[in-house]
Formats: sequence, C-alpha cells, structure tokens
Amino acid sequence: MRNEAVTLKDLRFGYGKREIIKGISLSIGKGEFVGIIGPNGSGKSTLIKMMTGFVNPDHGEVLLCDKPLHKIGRRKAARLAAAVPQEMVFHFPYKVGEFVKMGRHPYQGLTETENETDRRIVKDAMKATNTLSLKGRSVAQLSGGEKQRVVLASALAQDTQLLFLDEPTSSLDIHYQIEIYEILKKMNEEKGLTIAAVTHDLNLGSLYCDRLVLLVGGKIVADGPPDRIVNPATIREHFNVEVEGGIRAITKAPYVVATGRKKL
Amino acid sequence: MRRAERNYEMTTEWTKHDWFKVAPFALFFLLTLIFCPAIGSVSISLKEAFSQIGDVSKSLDASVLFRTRLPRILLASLTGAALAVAGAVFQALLRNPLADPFTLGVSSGGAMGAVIAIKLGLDISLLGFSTVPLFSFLGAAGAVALVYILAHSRGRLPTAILLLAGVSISFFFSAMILFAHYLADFTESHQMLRWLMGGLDIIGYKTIIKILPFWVLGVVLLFIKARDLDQLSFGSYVAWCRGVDVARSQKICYLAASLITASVVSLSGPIGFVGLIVPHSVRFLIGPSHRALLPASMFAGAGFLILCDTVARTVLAPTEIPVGVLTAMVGGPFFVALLFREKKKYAFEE
Repeated sequence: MRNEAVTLKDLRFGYGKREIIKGISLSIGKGEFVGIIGPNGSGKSTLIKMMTGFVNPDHGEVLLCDKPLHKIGRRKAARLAAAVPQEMVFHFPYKVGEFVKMGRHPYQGLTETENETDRRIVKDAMKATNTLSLKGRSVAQLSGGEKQRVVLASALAQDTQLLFLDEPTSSLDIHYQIEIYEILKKMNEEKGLTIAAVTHDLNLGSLYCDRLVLLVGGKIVADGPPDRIVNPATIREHFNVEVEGGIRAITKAPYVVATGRKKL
Repeated sequence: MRRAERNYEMTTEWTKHDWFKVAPFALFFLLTLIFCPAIGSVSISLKEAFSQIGDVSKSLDASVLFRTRLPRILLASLTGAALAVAGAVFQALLRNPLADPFTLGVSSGGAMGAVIAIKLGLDISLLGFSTVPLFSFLGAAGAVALVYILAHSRGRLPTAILLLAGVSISFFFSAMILFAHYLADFTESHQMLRWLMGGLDIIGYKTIIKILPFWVLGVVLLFIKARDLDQLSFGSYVAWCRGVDVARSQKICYLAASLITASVVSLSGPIGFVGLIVPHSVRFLIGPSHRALLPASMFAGAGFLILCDTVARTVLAPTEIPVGVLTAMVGGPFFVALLFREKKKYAFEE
C-alpha cells in the first residue's frame, strides 16, 4: 500500500480540438503541501478541477487515496477531499455561520440535523480561520479577505484529508495572503492535511509549500522542492521574463522578482 | 472573541428554527383560507351554508360556498403555492434573484398550447382533462423538454446556457402565440386574451384533483432537494465539492419545478409575479435557507393568491378583474422597488 493521497495517471483533457491538459502524471503523498504554478492558460485550474472530479478527463485516471475517483460516491468523495474555488459569488444573503455549517453537507442525510460532532467541527473551523466574530453577518456583505477566510472555514468544516485550492489569495492584500497560508500551513503540520494549491504568487508558494509543480502548456515541466523551481533560470525560461532572485535572509526560502521583458 | 463564541453557542438546531420560521406563513395561509370564502359579491352566511353541507343544491349559501368559492380558493392555493415554490427554485438554480417560474418559457409553452387549442376549436379530452388545459400542459412540457435538450451539456445544466435557451424558446413561442392570435376571429381572440390574462374562474373540483398528483410529486421532490438547492446557489463547482451530485440534482429540480408550474398554468393561465414577489419577500423575512424558504413560500404563495383573488372578484363586483392582471399591478411596482434597492449594488460592478 503506497502512501499516496492523489495519483494522476496520464490525464488528458480538451475543449474540442484545443487540448488543455496534455498528458499529466503526478503523485502527491499524504501530508504534502504542494503548490501548482505556471503561466496563465497552462491548465492549472483545470487540473485542480480534475482532482476534485468536477472535470472529467478525456483520457487517464484520477485516484484519491489509491481509489479511482469515479468509483467513489459523490458524498464519500466530499468527505475525503474539499476545495476552495477561485472566486465565490454569493447571490443570496446566507449568514456566515449558516454557510460554514453547510460544509457539513456530505455528512448529513435527508432528515438528519446537525449533531454535537458537526457543531464542534464547525466551531473549530471558524476558530482556526478567525471567523467566529463574523458568524451573524451576511456572506453577501463580506470584504475580500473576510470572504476568503469564510470559504476556507467551510472547506475545513468538511473535515477532509485533502484540500484543493485555486488561487486562494489572488485578490487579497499581503496581510491576508500570509494569514491564509499560515492557516493552511498549520492545518498541514498539525492535522496532516494534504494540500494542493494553485498559485500565481511564486514567492508565497516557495515560502509555504514543500514542493512546487510547474505547469506549462498543459504539461509538467518541473517538479521539486521550491529552490529547484523558484530560481532565476527556471522562471526566466518558462515565464518569458527577466528575473532576479536569491535566498531570503530570515526564512531561507528562495524568491524571484521580475525585472523586465525577456531579452533574447 | 469570548462574546463571539457565546453567540455561537446560542444557535440551536436547524430544524427547530425551520419550524419557527415556517409557522407564521402557515398561519397566514390558514387565516386566508378561513376568512376569504366568506367574502364575495354575494354575501352568504357560513352557518347557513354549513348546515346544508349534506345537500348543497338546497341552499343558495351552500351552493355559492361549496360550488363556486371553495374550488376557486383551492385552485388559488395550489397555483399560488406552486408558483412561489417554483420561483424560489428557479432563483437558486439560475443563481439569479430576478428569475421566476416563467423565465425559462414554461408559461409561453403553456400559452401556445392553449391558444392553439382555442384556435383549432378542438374537443379532445385525455385522462379527463378538457382540451385547453390538456394542450396547455403539453405545450408547457414541450417547452421544458426543448430547453432541457438545448441546455444540457455533459449531463449538467450550465446556468448561462439554461437562461439563454429558455429565453430563446420563450420568444419563439410568444411569436407563435401572436401568429395564432392574428389568425383568430373575434370570439377566439377574446378567449385567448382572457386565458393569457390568467384567472381562477374554473369551476369544479374534478379538474383540480387531476393536477394534484403532478403538484404533489413536484413539491415533494423539491422539498427533498432543498439542501442541494442551497449548495447549488453557490455554484455547481462548490456544490459538487460538497458532495452534491450536480447533474442529478439540477435535473430533478428543473423538471420538478417545471412540472408544478405547468400543471397549475394549464388551469389558471400565466399568473405573473407571484413567483417573483413571494419568494423574495419570504427570503427577506426568514433568510435564504431553502429548507425553510420552500415550505414558507408555499404557504405565503397560497395565501397571497387567495387574497389577490378575493380582491379581484369583489372590488369591482359584479365585474371581476382577471387575477393575473391584479398580481401584475401589485407586482410591477414591487419589482421596480426591488430593482431600485439592488441598483446601487450593480452600479459599480463590471
């Protein structure tokens, strides 16, 4: 029995003739915190949606904890893996507490109501994301930072072993960016939560992730610890920009900064 | 922090809440059910009417109450309830607070069926349905099927496509209605117009009982899917990740909401705005959670339409205002007020 949380086997997917994912194989071990990076249109979001089963591959297979995803029932799968979408739009004024509780959906039958366990898990999730004080507010009136923490709380309330995120911090200021990643890191270290997060922020990814996967044009071009990916040579080659980079003084995490358009 | 935690503890279970939320609307419905039959252009004595319950034809009071008003109130309840529930469902399904049961062409399909039946002067009945309701029901079902076939993609019903398909089909049927109307003679034309205005003046329990199985089936299915509707209103990706079988739930909700709409439209015509106003008001009062919203809308819709119909048949007595015209006159300003309130929110988007 291998200790793999996610296994992707030669995934391919396209809309009509335009192929977006061109043969991706990848294994994510239990307890890993993996960042998926890559230029716009490289297929990152589609890949994450395939891991959740929302997008069906045209070819290949997704396994969660060594079981084929399409053979796991939907409710069971939702007890195994949760996801935070790229952007959440609320059309109706649910209360924050109500919304987070709805993360318990896969555990509740038709007539069941919330029990002690549900209540405890929801409360823990709201504590961890510092959203308890927002409980009575309407989700439609939250700021960007509040909204993202609330959505994360509802995903944590699902109490899963795996968490998939699609650019969880792209619209947040640096304070909230750090806050979200700190929460994720804590969950990863303390509870062994396996995380795969798409991110555009190379430096945030290199600071928090154990491993980065670089996706270009629907293929994995590099995969390894942050210092093997977030370095001027690799980033220059795949993102087509001139970059400077180095090692951060305190955290020792690598960083890169774009300095201009790529010179030939 | 401390206070926040205490607040949290104060929330009790959902179900308890749900009953408390629904109860006032049930009470409202009961009140209309008790008081409205007594009101009308002919004043009757309820005591007298009930004393003759054994043989209704013996007394005028009993005859008015049991043969005219009660069936009408029954139809108003079923129609108002169905339209309000379907409205709430379509709003969640289309993730659009301004959607209603007619947005996706169910009513134009029904209207086309009815108009064709009137124009052709057909006299066919099936399973006890008379011609116009039968054709109306078939027309509505046709529209639902067409929209479904056009919109579904990889098993799911994407919101944007569903909306586009529904509106296109709706326009097409409206054009057909105009065409049939153009070909109609004076009597037919009046009949068509009267049908399109919506009314509850169908006499007799028999017809009403025939739509009851469809109505009950649809409403029960939707109540079962209430929790899924909450999740679907957050988008199909979120719903999927939280364990909802999106394709299945969308299908069931779309078909069930269409079914109850089609069944009541076939008898009472397209009565507008109930499906918009009622779910909106109820959501405003008790919040958007569908487990409370659907039953509360059901009661509120039934009570609201009974009230409207009572006004429609008494205010200009002995002339009746078609109830569809009345709901539209109430609903129009309501809709404008709603837009006005939401306007600011949209001004700085895009």
